[in-house]
Amino acid sequence: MTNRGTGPVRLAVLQPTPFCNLDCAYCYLPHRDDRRRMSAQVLDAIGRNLVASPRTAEPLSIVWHGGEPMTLPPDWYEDAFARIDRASGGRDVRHAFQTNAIGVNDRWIDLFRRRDVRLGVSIDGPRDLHDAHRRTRRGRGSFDLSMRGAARLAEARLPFHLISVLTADSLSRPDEMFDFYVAHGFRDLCFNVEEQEDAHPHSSLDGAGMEAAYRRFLDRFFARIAAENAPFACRELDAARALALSPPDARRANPQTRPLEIVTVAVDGAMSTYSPELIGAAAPDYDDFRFGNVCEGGPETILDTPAFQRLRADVDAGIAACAETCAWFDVCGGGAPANKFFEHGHMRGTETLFCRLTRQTGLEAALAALESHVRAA
Amino acid sequence: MRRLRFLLAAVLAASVPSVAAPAPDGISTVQDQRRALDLRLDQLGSQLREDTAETTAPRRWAQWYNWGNWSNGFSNWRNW
Repeated sequence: MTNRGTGPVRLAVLQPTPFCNLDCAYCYLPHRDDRRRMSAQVLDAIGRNLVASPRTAEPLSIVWHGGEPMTLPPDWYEDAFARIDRASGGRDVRHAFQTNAIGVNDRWIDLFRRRDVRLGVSIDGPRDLHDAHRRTRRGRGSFDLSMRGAARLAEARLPFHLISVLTADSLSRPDEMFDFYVAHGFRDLCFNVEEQEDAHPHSSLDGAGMEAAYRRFLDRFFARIAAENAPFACRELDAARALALSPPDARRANPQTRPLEIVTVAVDGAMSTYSPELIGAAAPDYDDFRFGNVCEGGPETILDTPAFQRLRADVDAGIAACAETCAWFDVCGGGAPANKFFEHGHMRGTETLFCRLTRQTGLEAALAALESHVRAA
Repeated sequence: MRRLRFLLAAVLAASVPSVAAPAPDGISTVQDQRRALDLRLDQLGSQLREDTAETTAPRRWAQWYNWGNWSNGFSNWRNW
């Protein structure tokens, strides 16, 4: 019932710097003023001990996630990619950036194109929705800066998807949001919900009526997609479609609850696993979710640390509790450990706000849209 | 103090059952609800396969769903 296996490592989330040039109201990262950069020694060790590890799948997805990864210059990544290539003996990796796209220029475009970097851009929708939360350190909205970067990527014909964080303010405006995406040519979209994590302990979506409002938002947004005469990809619909098309025993696969499928490496080389948001969060029983250092060994060393073993026992207990009590367990596999930890204060619990919104309400809305689609066909 | 809060939260959570999923009409247990959702997905999957050949190769795969907010398109399972 629980997720007893480990790995292989399929996703490495690397933190080149904790620093971010924005100060978003809903950000969970507590150290986004920290301007340290990942050292050459750590980059070489990532290639040698993580990418080249027999426990790592090939190709490995590497997501450069911050802080804001683009606060370091393109030359830094030229060197970082080359170091990882060299130290790993040329193992096949797929680099990706999740970015606010501020400062995209010809050098960035050249790097992204030459290295076939996958791109996700964070824009929350129309200006007022975006600027309400995604602000510069001087408190100004970042809409124009991010839209300029997205426009440069589009001009260069580099594909990217958009991630929009939904807050309580967004939920009454599905039509405006849809019209905004279409007007700007954004046709590959993922919705994240405002979560309660670490430095951001309260979500505007945690309140009476919010799940119903989220359902109404998705119902309307999916109806607009259905009525659109051109392709429009939305992760939430795609994911439900994929669940329906998968064999039942594959539906509960959950990389966030399987050790080593995701390995996070912090700026100083510290490693973690399960949900990437966990690393560095205050948790004395789990050594703040820092399980060894990539300079001293590969992902297998995570498994040997007593703090990880305590964590694994608690995560497994939480998964078992989900299996006993949750009707959605077979399409979820035990939730997101980070959300359990930050919402409940421990790992042994079950349902979270994140579950109710994304696993339950979101899936029900997507299934209803798909069922309506096949009935009409 | 942080450790105390942590332990207190764990004890309180262990004593409070989680909120059960809403039961559709005529379905009483969680296990029944799980089976009903599986059946619903199976039926939808069959209909989607009949509907268009394209959906036999979904753009994003099921495992990908459970990356949560990390399912932002960077998984190896997203074959596009």
